[in-house]
Order: sequence, then structure tokens, then C-alpha cells
Amino acid sequence: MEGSGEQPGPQPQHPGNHRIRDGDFVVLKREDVFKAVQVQRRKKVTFEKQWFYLDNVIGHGYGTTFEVTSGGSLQPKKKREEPTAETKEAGTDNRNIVDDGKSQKLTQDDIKALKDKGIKGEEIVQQLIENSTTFRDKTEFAQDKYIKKKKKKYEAIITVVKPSTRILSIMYYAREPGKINHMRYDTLAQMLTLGNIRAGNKMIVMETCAGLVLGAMMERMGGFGSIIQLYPGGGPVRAATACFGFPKSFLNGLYEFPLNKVDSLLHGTFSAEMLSSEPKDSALVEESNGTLEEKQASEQENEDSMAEAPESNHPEDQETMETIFQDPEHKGPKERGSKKDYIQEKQRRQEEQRKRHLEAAALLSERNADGLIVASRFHPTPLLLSLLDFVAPSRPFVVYCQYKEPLLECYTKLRERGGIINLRLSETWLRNYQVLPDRSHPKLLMSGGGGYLLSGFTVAMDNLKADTRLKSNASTLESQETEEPAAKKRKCPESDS
Amino acid sequence: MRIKENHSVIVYVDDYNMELVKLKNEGIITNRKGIFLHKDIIGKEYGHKIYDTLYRNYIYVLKKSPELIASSLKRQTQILYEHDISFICLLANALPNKTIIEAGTGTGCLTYALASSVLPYGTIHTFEFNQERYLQVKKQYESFYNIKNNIIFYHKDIINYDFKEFKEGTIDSVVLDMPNPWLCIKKFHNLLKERGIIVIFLPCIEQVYKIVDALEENNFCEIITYELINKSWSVIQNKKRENGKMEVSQSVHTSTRKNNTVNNIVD
Repeated sequence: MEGSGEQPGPQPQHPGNHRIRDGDFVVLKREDVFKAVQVQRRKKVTFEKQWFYLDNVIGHGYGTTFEVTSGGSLQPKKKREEPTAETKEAGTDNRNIVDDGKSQKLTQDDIKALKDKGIKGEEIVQQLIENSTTFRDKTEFAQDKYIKKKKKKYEAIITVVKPSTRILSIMYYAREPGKINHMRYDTLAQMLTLGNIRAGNKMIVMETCAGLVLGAMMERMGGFGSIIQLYPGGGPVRAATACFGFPKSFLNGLYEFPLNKVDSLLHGTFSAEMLSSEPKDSALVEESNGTLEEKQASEQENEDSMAEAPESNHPEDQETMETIFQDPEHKGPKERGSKKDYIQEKQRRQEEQRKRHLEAAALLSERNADGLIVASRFHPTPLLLSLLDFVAPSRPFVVYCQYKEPLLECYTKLRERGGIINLRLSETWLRNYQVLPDRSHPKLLMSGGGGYLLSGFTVAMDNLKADTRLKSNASTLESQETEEPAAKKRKCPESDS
Repeated sequence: MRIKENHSVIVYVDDYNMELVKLKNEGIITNRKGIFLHKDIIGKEYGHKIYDTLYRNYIYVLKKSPELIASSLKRQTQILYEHDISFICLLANALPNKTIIEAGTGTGCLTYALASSVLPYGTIHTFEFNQERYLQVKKQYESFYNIKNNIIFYHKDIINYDFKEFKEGTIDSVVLDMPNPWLCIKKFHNLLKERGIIVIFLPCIEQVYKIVDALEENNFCEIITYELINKSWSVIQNKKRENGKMEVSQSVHTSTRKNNTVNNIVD
């Protein structure tokens, strides 16, 4: 084996790497449905029409499966061995099967009685099979499908998994795509690699995707380097970021700065005084256990909105979320018991926030960021045209937009601006497959609804005066020609004839 | 950050012509824009124009990134494209300080992306059974100072390799891009940590059937199969003058690529 150096140095571990602890952020999984929650003792959690307590999860490892039993307790369930393939009685096709809704002999009441008796889901499914007149006539595949369907309904198997970008982005896309501007997880994957997001970088991000993009970036950077998040309105929304359960140390490199002060920063008219007039507290509050979000707020949001509430992207909802985040601050007085303490605490936090903003302003003013990520519901063009000035030359930027048209305009404006090369407009289509013996086929084609990406690299801005070395007018024209995208002369190498 | 001798940089001629170049004092680059001297690049900053010897044309010199590396190595045969690489990095949980096994190395594009993702202290163990390719990529990466300490190259056939020096349960993920991955699935079950991940890239559906069978036989769970297609859009500016306004229209050049990725988790 050919090595090339010493072995790894210190390895910062995520808390709860092996065993789940009280306060950890986890994701509940049932079949293909996910829900992010925080583990708290004696706290009721609803998931997939069931409620239970997460207490029994503590001490187990990720990937453990549980069954919901009476009283809302979770019991670890061992992986059952698949029943041996005895020759099951089965039909050859469905020509004689009549779907009259009368083939199941057990009534709703019968089933309810079984449930109330505390009979396990497995048993109920077995009963349903035995009391179905048509089961024996179904084909083997149809029997499999029937059993799977009944199991899904009556056997509540929940797996507890560790949050990751992959899981959370799949969850958000399925449950609340509106909150993340319908960004599909393969599109997010592209952004992370196109933007060269990695440990040690200094990244600028502007997103209105509930903090999912920010969380993905933080996970990829592992707490190394720095991220400056620009936000509209009173404060950044970071509901999704909380779900990752990052350790407190990750916050050291995370800054935020208001979008409405960016212009003044670019023109050199920014001053510290501008910040003291911030009315609302930032949505970001550090709790004693070092998590990004107030526990109450994130659960509130997770429980209610994750499940049934319709998605909406109106600004009013944005404010509602921010208000929710501020609730715990209002809870402060009850906990601390004195209004004066509460006001002092609030002032201290505001002062800290102001300090952080100033630090962010200083970092931005260096104009040497390693990359820019934009993923918001706002039109990308004005954002890009100003934010690109903070990025060093030869660095990537990626813009996500739910629709293609704004990116076309952006493309044109960027060409006019100059200082950009390798502009690409792309989208990805995703399809997943069911792979079963003799039953493999694609399941779902996700196209168009995953958003679009415009990406490119920065280069040093043109300063025509400096190009006096150019030999003649002719060569100046030629160099301008090469500035333009090869779009006109471009022959797409992959296109079919 | 000034560019130094012996560094590898990306020489950008245009959107479809990029080259990975290792800089030497006496080196010369020749392309359709002219002749460029390495020593005109050394000492400059990234992202600036570099003029040819006749001061007629210029190119840009860029810092390496996974996308640029993939673009510049495209001429060599490979079926993994940038969008596949990105998706694999997401599915495989390629994150700081992880340990990942990769086979085969191929052109090294995926290796580069994975290595970038596991900085600062993670390791990619990458296997290649073709000696020429192994030597070529290893040599190339000698001048990739940022990530060279995070990659260990093996000139071995992973199917026969015994992995004796690897302790059980120490690998975070395995990424496979090889013709017959089902032959080596079994040994990964022990090598992988609990909840470790295998991501397998396959161009043909028959291979997908085989690998899913092999995975199920070896007690892997949560097996998902994806197909990823990339669509690139060309923006063509229509110089139609109407009241002095420029109109933009676009046309589609679809470049479709298939990527059958099977992603699954060790129980």
C-alpha cells in the first residue's frame, strides 16, 4: 500500500454519532416518509397519523427500528426473518377476480376491536389475509403487493436515522417543497459541487429555502472556514438548518448580514451606526445546548407545518416564521422571573448581534470570497450583480431559480457586466426505479419541477485602459469577440445530428 | 495567492476548451489562440488574463475545482459526468474527515470531488487495476497540493484485494464505478461502519438487477435506484432590434446522460 503522509489528525465528531441522546436531532423514517424532530423526554410526537414518545429511542444507535405500541411507547423491533418460501397457493392471473369491495370478511369494527385488544400489526395483517376470499386467487406478485399495502397500514415500523443533507433535502422536497422553492435534492447536489463547497472556504450565501441550503453548505464544510449569509427582512430563516443538529462550534464561522445594507457596503458608505437601528432581534439565538434554533419554535414548525399545512411562499408566512422564532425570547421573562433581567439579556443579545454584523461586514469588504450561492424566491439578477463584487476572481458561483426565465435574463446581464466565464444553464431530471425480480420499472420521472441552475466562474474585471499592450485595433476586436460566449459559434458536442 | 511553479492550473481557452497544466519554468502551451509561456503564468494571480507571445489573444488561468477538472479531462473516455459526480457525493455522504473507498479511479474526476469533500483530514482509498491509468492519475495528483494528502492510490484489483490492513467497521462509504461490482460486495459489509453507505454507478439496467440482488443477499438495506439525466440549455441572443431593445430567446440543446446509481445502506 502506498501511503502519502501521516494519518489523519484530530477528528471532530458530531455529537450522537453512535448513540442517540436526549436533545439530539433525528429524523423519523417510515417507508419513504421522513420527519425531522428533536429528541426530548416526555414530549409527544406525531408522525404518520400516530403519536408516541421518543424516550425509548435514547441510548440506541441510528438505524434502529421501532414499533409503536399502546400508550405511545416505542419498542425496538428486531429485523424479522423473511418467511421461507413455502409453496403459497396463488392464481395465475386476475381474469376471475371481481372487485366488488366484498372480498374482505372482517369489518371496520372487527379490525378496530383487534387493534383495541392490543394485537400486533403483524397479526392483524395475517387475519386480513385469512379473511380475504380473493387472496388465494391473486397472483404471487399481487399477493406481495397486497401484503405490503396492509403492512404499511397496520404495522407501524419507524426507523430513527441521522440527519444529513441527503435525508433532509428529500424530506423537504416531499413535504414542503414550497418552503425551498421546489429545489429537488439532485439540484442541491449540483449546487454543492459546482460551488466547490468544502472545508476551509469563505462562502457567501443568500437563500430563502428555510436554511436548507445553508445547512447543506455547513455540513459540507464541517465547521471549517466561514459562511456569510445575507438575508432579507429582519432575520434569516433557519428552520431546516436546525434539523441537522450541528455542534455549537459550527456557529463560530457562521455570520449573517442584512441585504439592505449591502449597497452601502459596496459603495463604502457603510458605517457601524447603521446597525444600531435594527428593531427586531435576529432569528438566530444561541441556546445553552448550542443548537441553532429555539426548541419550541422548531418543534412547533416541524409538527404543524411538516405534516398537513399547505405550503405557501407569501411574505406573510415568512414573517410568521420569524415571529415563531422570537417566541422563546418572550418566554424569557417567565423563566428568568424579572423583566429587568429580560431587557438586559435582550440588549446583550442585540449588542452581540451588532458585533457579528460588523465582523461580517469586514469579511465581505475584503472582496475575496471563495464562492457565491444564491437560491431565493427573489429575482436573481440584482442579487448577483451586487453580490459578485464580493467574490475573488477564479471562483465559482451558482444561482438556483425555480423558473428558467429569470436565469435567462441573468445570463444576459452577466454577459454585459463582464468578468464572468463558463456560464452554464442546466437542469437535472431524476427518476427512481423499482427493482424487483420480474417487476422492475421506473417509478416516477421528476422533471422540470426541480428548478434550474445558472453557474459560472469569476475572472478579473476588464479594464480596457490597462489593455494598451494590445497591438492593434484589429486584435482588440478579436479579443472582444473571444469575450463573448462561444454560444454563437458553439456546436454543442453532445447534440444529435 | 500567486501561482507558483509545479502547481497544476486550469488553462481556460473557452467554455469547451480547458486544459489541466502543470507549470514548469520552461513550459509552453500551444492552442488555437497561440503560444503561451508557462513563465508568463507563474507569479500571476488566478482569474487573470494571460496573453500569448504575440500579445494578440488571451486565455484565463483558473484555480482547480471539481467541475473544471471534469471539463478538462473530458476528452479521455469516461461515462461519469459532472452531474453524476455531484449526485454521488450527496448520496455517499462525502463529508469532512470521512474515510471513503473508491473503485476504479479511472480519470480521477470523481476522486478529486470526493477528496475535496473530505478535507481536511479524511481519506479516499482509490483502486485502479490498469497500471497506465493508475500511474497517470497518481502522477497528476502529485501537484494537487491541497488534496494529495487525502488520497491513497492502490494499483490493485479490488475484487481480489484482501483489505487486511483495514480494520472492520472503519469505512464510512464505498463508491463503485466498475463493470462487475457484485463480485466484491460481500467484503464491504464488514468493512463499512454501521449505517455505512455504498453508492454504485452503472450504465446498464441489467447490471442494476445483478447488483440489487447481490446487495439484498448480503444484508444491505434501504436500496434505492436512481436515474439522473442532465439537460444543458444554451442561451442564444437574438439580435432583433425593436426600439433599440435586444431580445433574448433560447433554444434547447439537450444533452442527456443516464446514470443508474444504486444507493444503499449497511444494516
